[in-house]
Amino acid sequence: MDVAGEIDLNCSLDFQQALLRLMDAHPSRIVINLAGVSYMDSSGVASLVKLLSRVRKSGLSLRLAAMNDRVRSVFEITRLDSVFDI
Amino acid sequence: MDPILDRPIKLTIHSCPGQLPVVRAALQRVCELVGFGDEAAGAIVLSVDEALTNIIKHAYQGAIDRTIEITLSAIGAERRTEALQVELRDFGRYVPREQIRSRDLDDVRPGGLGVHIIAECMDCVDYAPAEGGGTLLTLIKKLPARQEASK
Repeated sequence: MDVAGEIDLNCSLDFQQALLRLMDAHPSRIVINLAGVSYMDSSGVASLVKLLSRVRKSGLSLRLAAMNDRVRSVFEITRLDSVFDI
Repeated sequence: MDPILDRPIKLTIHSCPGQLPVVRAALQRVCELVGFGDEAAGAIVLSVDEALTNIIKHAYQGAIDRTIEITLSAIGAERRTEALQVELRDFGRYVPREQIRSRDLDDVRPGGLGVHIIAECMDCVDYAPAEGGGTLLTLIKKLPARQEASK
């Protein structure tokens, strides 16, 4: 799934719903391409954490790809860079 | 003081999440003009964004028609900016400082990360009751010590 734009409180609910809909296709693995994401705050991160929880319960794999330095720093500050496959 | 912050810059927004990108863009530009590098500017923008998110969600419980006042000012002496101060003032429910806590990062679950992010990114964080009700949150980020020009 390709994601673009700024992920903050304004759009995090839509973002979360779009992420969770990925599970409807019963994939074996999920890759979220964040190359187009210029900004993400903790509300965006929270949406990804929610997806991760569902993915783990389903025994699937989730990978976050191509995040820029600013987005990566949010995961590092919250120590989620060791939780997600980045 | 650097010209851009000879006088404070004041922004007044509504507690509407759609206005957050405007604040981020303005703050990013101020950080650049004051002399912060990209990493520090990113930390400041993220912290303010997280603080505003918390105000909208907790102080204003999701209402989108409430007022948030943002004041940007320089801290320094002898016409040299040493730090950027960001004050965020809301008129909602005041939460005592001791109740504002980051959750355990080892507990991986959605939400509750904003307070931790702000504490990690900013050099000083102060919550105080605002006169007339609400909260005044003060965030300070120091500029890296500038190299003295060689003579």
